[in-house]
Amino acid sequence: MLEIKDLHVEVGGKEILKGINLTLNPGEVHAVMGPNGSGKSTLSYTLAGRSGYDVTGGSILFNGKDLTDLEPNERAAAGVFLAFQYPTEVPGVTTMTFLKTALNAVRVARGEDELDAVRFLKLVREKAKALNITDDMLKRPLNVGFSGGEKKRAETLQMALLEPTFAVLDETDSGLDVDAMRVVAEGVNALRSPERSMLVITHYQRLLDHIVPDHVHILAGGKIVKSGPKELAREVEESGYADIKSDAA
Amino acid sequence: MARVAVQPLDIETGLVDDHAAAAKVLPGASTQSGVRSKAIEAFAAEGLPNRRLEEYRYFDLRQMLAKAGPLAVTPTASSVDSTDAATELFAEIDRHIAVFINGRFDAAGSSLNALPDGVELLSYAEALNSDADWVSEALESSIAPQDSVATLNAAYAIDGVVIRVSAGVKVDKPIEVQWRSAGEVSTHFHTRSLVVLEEGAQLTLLETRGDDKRAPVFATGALRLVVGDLASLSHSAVYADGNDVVRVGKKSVTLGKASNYQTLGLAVGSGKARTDEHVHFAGENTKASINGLSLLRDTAVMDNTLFVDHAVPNCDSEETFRSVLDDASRGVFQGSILVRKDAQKIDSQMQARALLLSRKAEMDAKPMLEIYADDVICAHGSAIGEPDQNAIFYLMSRGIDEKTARALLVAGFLDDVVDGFDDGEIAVALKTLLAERLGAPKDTAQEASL
Repeated sequence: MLEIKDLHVEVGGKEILKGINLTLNPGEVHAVMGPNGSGKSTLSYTLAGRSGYDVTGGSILFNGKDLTDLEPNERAAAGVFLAFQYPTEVPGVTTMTFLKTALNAVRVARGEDELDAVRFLKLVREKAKALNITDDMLKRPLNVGFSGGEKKRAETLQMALLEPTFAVLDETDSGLDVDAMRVVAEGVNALRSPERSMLVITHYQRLLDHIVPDHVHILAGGKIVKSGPKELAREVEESGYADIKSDAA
Repeated sequence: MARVAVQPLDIETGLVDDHAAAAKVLPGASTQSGVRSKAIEAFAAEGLPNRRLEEYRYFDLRQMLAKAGPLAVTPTASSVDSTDAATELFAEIDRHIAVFINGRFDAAGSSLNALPDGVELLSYAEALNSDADWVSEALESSIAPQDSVATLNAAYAIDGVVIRVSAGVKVDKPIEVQWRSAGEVSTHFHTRSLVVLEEGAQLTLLETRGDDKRAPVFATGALRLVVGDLASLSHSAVYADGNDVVRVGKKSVTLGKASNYQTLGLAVGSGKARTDEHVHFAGENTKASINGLSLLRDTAVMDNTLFVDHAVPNCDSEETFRSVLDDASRGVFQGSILVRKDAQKIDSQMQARALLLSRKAEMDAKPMLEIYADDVICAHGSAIGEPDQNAIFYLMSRGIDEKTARALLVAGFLDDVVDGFDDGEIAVALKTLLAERLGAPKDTAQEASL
């Protein structure tokens, strides 16, 4: 369903991704691990369509369609979701208003009807409850003053509402203690399904104890230098990235 | 300031020459004529304020009115049938309404029958004929600062609203004063208003300004607010003028001890307006929250000039001003906080921010602190920029198109201040107006009446 072919990406004129190849089949969870500066965040922003991340070569085919031509909102409508490492604070816009606007935009783009305030509330409360998100939090401005755990739970709620078929989780464990990570991981696991694939981007192995991947890829210097089963993550944890890199060289 | 020898504008000559005739029909002619003649003499010597005066550096009235030509004096008060955005703004709120058309009180259009005991409301014209002590005392209190707009206002004051809330009276419903202009003739008019809250009184005052006029208007309004000890005043003022309107408002506020004053000015019109507010802390343990929001397009101008005088210790003030400027619109903020020598333990936070949505838009911000006490917490800040690209990307990554994402962000930038000002039906009305103007989605919590 997602096929990244020889992807080259420049940021500010500097090549960061130097030919990524990656294929995800429906229902699969892949992890991308790598040291700082290896291009992990560049990969996630490129998939979501952030401006300033210029694709200079290769393609990203999603269900046969090239994503690189689409605006970020069009990608969301097509079923792509990026859970941010650092969700942006948006003062003055309540979480609820944001969620309803986003959900209805995506529904309309997918040919579904818009939800009115009553139907929306019923749905959002049901999904929020499972993630321990209160009404009070929904009435607060989006991500403003949210703790690290609250931000990541809010990201997970957005994913649950928008029902993407392909989700990128960018360093979802950053800023979380063990308990908060467990809540978020449970939320993510609940969304695993045969139709939905996920790309879990992480620096550390610990998240992968909770969200167990089908495949693990090591990203270094803008290229995938090694791929393997889930055990590869533990190998990295034990021996560090340095050995892996020398492997590839 | 000594006037530099410049050729007076037609409008200035007209204002001076027409005064004698106009004064005969202004209210309280027998008692006020001396004051008025002195005032017009002072105006004649100074002329309209212009950019050579530091206070009017960014709001050059002379230039704005250069082509206005002579304006009709003493416009006839006529009734207006049509409604406009400003008059409809608070339609959902149960309130008392005083209507003024071209500066004059319109009793028939007002709805003041249900004013509770302990609230007196009369027009300035009526007040001039009143022999009640509180009226004469209030009328004598000065409007600061004394510049040529103040003298012009004193020379020509035609009417206004005079309100007193007696000690301990908490007014159940807001009082809205609608300032409207109507008709096809270019006019100028000047109003003078007074609101007195005695000890422990509480009032919510709403002011809306709009017009359904096709001709230029030049208006000045002087407003004196006296907030007594332990009293509480919430004051919202909305400017929704058309593009031929030039307005200068002068607001003088005195705060008694342990009183509470919060105000929000909202400019959404396409005219040129300035408010010149002086807030004087006269009693300790007093709190003031002074806010201004501008959402401007075309060639609109909004100038918020503010002077806060912390004359006594142990008071807090917050000054928050935000502007969203599109097209060739212009925002001005000149804020000055004075903390006098013995005014210790003052906490004062002043912030002016602007979002520029167009390359031709302009913001002039000049925050100033003058502090003579040594044990105070005071800060000021100013930031002018564009909508946050990170936030736009974040919203778009959730399926929201760029236009809606921008509208949401901009609405949020302004709503943030509304939320700090009020959490009830006034906030709902103001936020609905902003969302409509911006094409932003409605607030969902509000829609579902949570």
